Order: sequence, then structure tokens, then C-alpha cells
Amino acid sequence: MKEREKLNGRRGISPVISAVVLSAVVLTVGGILWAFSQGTMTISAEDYADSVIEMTNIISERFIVEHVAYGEDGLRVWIYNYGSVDIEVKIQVGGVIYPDDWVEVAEGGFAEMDLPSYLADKGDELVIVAYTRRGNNVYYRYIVPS
Amino acid sequence: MSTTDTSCRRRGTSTIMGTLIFVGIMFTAVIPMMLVMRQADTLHEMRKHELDILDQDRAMESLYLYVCPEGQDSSYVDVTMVNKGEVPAHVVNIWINDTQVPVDANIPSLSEDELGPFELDRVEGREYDIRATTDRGNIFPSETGILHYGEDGWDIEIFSIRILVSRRTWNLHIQVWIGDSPEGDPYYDQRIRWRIGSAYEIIVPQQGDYYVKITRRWGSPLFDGKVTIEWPQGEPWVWIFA
Repeated sequence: MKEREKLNGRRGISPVISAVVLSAVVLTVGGILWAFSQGTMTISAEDYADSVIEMTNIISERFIVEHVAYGEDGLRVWIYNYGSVDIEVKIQVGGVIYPDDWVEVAEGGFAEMDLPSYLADKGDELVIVAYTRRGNNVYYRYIVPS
Repeated sequence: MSTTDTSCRRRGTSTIMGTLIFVGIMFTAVIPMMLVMRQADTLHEMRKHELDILDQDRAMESLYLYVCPEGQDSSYVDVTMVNKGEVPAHVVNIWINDTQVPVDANIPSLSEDELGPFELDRVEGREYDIRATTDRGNIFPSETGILHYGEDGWDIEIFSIRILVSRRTWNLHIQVWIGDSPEGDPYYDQRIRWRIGSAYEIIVPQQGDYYVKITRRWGSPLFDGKVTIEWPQGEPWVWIFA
């Protein structure tokens, strides 16, 4: 009887060890999973928020070709950004894209874009396309004064 | 018996810890992510709503621009802007041909404001196209058209008071004073006798108020009161039906 009790008492050590090992494994795996989830979710949330902000900026762009003039100085185009976000803009007249670098127009600001080398005849009808880096366009039809 | 008890307790511990980890992940990763996404969506919707309002206000903007030289040969023009829309307007630029003149004028709805005077170079034969740009991106041209400077000065309207007398009279006395009261010598003072026809046109120097008195030798006065030539907001003439 005493021997049997001794045996039972000895067996009690291994469940404790196994419980500790199992808990450690669960905690380790859980911790890794937790850290991985948190990192992934944070990145996903930031990506999503960035994409929504970018989409909001795209739809927030508002600008016009305010005025066009052609004279001795060539073709001059004025852009007015009346939206609530800064824009970067280029213009295209016929096959000519101007300038090489994007022109920044701040919120509520104006930009004058000069094409001194552009040649047109009196009475020519020009279609001027102003487009932004975010992909919005506005069109302006201009007849060169005679 | 004791072995079975220990095994059950072990399973319980793992389940509790797994559940805790799951709940922890939910509260520290998934829910914040969903909140951030939701907030971004809300901001996007708010911005869309603001843009809808901006576009709607832009479409409702209704500004009438009247450009008028200060005199027949003056180098200055006044720009009167009448806001006939429901929304207030903010004018940011006046364009005189290809020259941009920055301005800062707020015009409440259903009211008007006068800007200027703006100086023009007065080159004979030259035309002057004057426009206004608002902060909502609308461009309004002059309602009075493109100004032309000729050899006799500005080509502007001829102002007149047109009188239509419907009653048969043989002796009319027409007097016109510049201003809103009959003070001083009249600008126009003419007696008309035995005149065939009953319509008269009196050319006056400018727009504004005139006091007109039309009397006949016998009977009560046909007209006695103030008239206004409202050009450029209105026609350059005014009718009097006597």
C-alpha cells in the first residue's frame, strides 16, 4: 500500500512539467501570432487609410484653365487651383506637353505657364488640356485672335 | 483517477490561455484596424459631401458684371458686380484682356459691389475684354460686352428718355433736370406745338436719375416725377408713358 502511494506521488511530477511546457508553447506561439497579427493589421490599416486619403485627394482636385493668351511671348496659360488640395500640373497643346517637370499649384493658388516657342496662326483653334499627376483633366478651347 | 483529473486541468489551462490570446489579438489588432478603416471611410464620405456642396454652390453662383467707363474719354472704368445668386460670391481676379488684377471682394447674395476704378491704356481701335474670376472657379464676362475705344472715345450706349404721349395734345412742355429733383435750370426745356406724332426721344449725357415734367397748356400735368436710366444693369433708355 505504501509502495503504491509512493508510485502515485512520483507520477505527479511529469503532469506539472508537461503543463508548464505546454503553457510555454502556447504562450510562445500565441505571442508570435499576436505580434504578427498586430504588425500585419497595422500595416493593412495604414495602407488602407493612405489609399483612402489618396482617393480623397483625387476627388478633391478642382482646377480650371483660367485664361489663355497668345502673342509675341508665345502661348501663355493660367491655371487656377480652387480646390482644397495642392496639385501638380502639366499642359498639353496639340502634341506638345509642357513643361518637363510638374508645376506645383498650391491650394487656392495660380500658375502661369508660358510656351514661348509655341507657334500658331491667327484664327487657329487650340484645345488646351491641363492634367494633374493624380490624373484629373480640364479642357479649354482657345481661338488665336486675329 | 488522479491522472484523469490532472489531464482535464491541463486542457483547461490551454483553452483559457488560447482564448485570452485570441481576445487579445482581437482587441489590440483587429478592432483598432477596423476602427482606423472605418474612420478613413468616414473622412472620405465627409469630404465627398463637402465637395458635393462646393460643386452645388459653384453651379448656383450667379454674378453679373457691368463695366462702365467713368466718362466718354476717361482712362478709368468702374466694374459693378451684381450677385443675383443665392450664395455669396468672392471675386479673386479681374482680367483686363491678358492682364490679371488680383482683387479681394466679397459680395453677399442679392447685393452689389463696385470695384475699381481700373486704369486702361486707351489705345485707339483697341478692344477691352473684362472678366471676373471667383474663388469657386467661375469666370464671368462683362454683361455690357467688350469695350471698344475709338477716335471719339469709348463706344458706349446713347442714353435717352423716351416719351410716349397717348393723349391728343397740341401744346406740350417737356422739361428734364439732371438729378432727382427739379432744381436749377433744366437740362432740356422744349415746347412742342402742332407736332404730328406722339413719341419723343430726349438724348441725355449719362445714366442715372432725371427729373421729368411734362405739362400741357390746358389740363393737368401728364408726368411729373423722377426716372432712372439703370444702365449698365438695365437698358440705356427709360420709357415714360404719359
